[in-house]
Amino acid sequence: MSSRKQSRITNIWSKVIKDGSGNICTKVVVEATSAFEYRVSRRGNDVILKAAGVAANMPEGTIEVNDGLVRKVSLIQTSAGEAVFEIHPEHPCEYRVEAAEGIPFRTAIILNWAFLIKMFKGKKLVIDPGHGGDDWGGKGPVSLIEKNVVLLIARAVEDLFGQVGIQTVATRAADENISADSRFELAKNEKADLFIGIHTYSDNNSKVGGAAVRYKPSCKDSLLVAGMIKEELIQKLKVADRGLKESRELAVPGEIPGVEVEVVTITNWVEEGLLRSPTIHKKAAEGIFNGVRKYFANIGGH
Amino acid sequence: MILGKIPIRTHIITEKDDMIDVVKKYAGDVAEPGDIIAVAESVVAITQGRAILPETVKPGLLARFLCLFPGKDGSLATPQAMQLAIRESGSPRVLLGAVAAAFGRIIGRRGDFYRVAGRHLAQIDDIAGTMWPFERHIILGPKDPHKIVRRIKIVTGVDAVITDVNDIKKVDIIAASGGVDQESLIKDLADNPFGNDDQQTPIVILKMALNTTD
Repeated sequence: MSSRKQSRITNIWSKVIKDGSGNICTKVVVEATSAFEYRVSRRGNDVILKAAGVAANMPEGTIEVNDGLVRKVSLIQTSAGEAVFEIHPEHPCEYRVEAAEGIPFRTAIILNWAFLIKMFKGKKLVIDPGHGGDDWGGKGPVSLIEKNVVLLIARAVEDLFGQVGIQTVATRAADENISADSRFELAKNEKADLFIGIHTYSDNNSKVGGAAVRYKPSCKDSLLVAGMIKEELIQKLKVADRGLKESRELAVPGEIPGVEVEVVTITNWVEEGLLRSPTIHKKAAEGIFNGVRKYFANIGGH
Repeated sequence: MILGKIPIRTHIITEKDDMIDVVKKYAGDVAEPGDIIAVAESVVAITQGRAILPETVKPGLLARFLCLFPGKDGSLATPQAMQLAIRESGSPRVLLGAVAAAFGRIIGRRGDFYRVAGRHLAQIDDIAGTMWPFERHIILGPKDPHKIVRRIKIVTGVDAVITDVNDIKKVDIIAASGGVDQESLIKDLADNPFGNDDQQTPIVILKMALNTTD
């Protein structure tokens, strides 16, 4: 290490990017006040970066990422001047490290999504933004209407799946009347692997809040994927867990699994406030994406 | 001239923290005289206990009535947020602001409500306006921001500002210590170096050219 004063680690952040060759990657960036020495190794899927000549200016501990590939990143100051960064991917991946001069000095660990892209190849989803046209669905205490807000969330969901090459077909792209039958038939006609309805919950009691997932009872994979979506959605949105519920109205034909995600409760006026935020739409989409990813990884293992 | 912007990740800051201690702890070894320490206004307010859970607010009749008029996507569209505005500025002033806003609307002028009822009300962040675990709170504007930047300057020896920056390049300087060129600063913060609400970087250090000789 140079004789200059110790480099201070000021921030760690991550982002899903397309690299120069168009490959989807997670870029984990360590920001510091100056360059530092490091060694990189692997432990299973984990990438371990041991740094020397550094001091943690930011809090030590774990940062949840949950972007689809990377579950979390952690920083531990192991001794004076030495720190360890651990990146925990949930799937096998290749990585490379790049450093960029500047203020702050950035060390980027770039992890490739090739495994996930391969796992998703050929998969097709029907995304169903609930209600539409004359059917408004629920209404928030201030002004939001379910049929409008679920369309925004559905678009965020489609963007995320599209990014990894999963084909999505939406039952509606605008404010239009669509019958329940034609929504479900679309899944059959498109030979979809999964039907995902996007809804919000409504309750007469404005204090009731939270997320739930309804599932088609005649297909056991529906329960499996519903559980995984609910878990990941709640992890992202940090709202109350309203559980998993059977829905006999979810008449998706044949063996195609079907779920309806009640993202939050629109009649709870705090959660109506959450629904105004594009950040919340994106987080809801990420939760749904992560649940579906876990499901495909699970059934792919059989 | 600015050389770079260093976002500083902190622990989750709550009303148990003192803002000056937080800045000293996280910026003290990174910022040097000549730099600028920029602090997000919502975090200053949180340390002052000004993050309010809406269910703890009991809106009166006036708040229930007045909240029907602002834009539905704005910060004062709920009875609870309007009640907090009344608590901040008093009923007469908020009522006068509403009357001014009504006249302003007739002549096609915006912003009259805040001009009359108090510009500090424009700093109220509604639900989902800030980072977890405060996304279910209404966050009022910070109290005594000028005093806080002066104290930061005394404790660290570095100029300080409290700012409200969002992702649509809107930068408000709430308070700045004496040596800050506010016009340049607004340009330097327009890309929102505080990041989005997940990034937990409520302090940004602007490294200035004066400090290149290390």
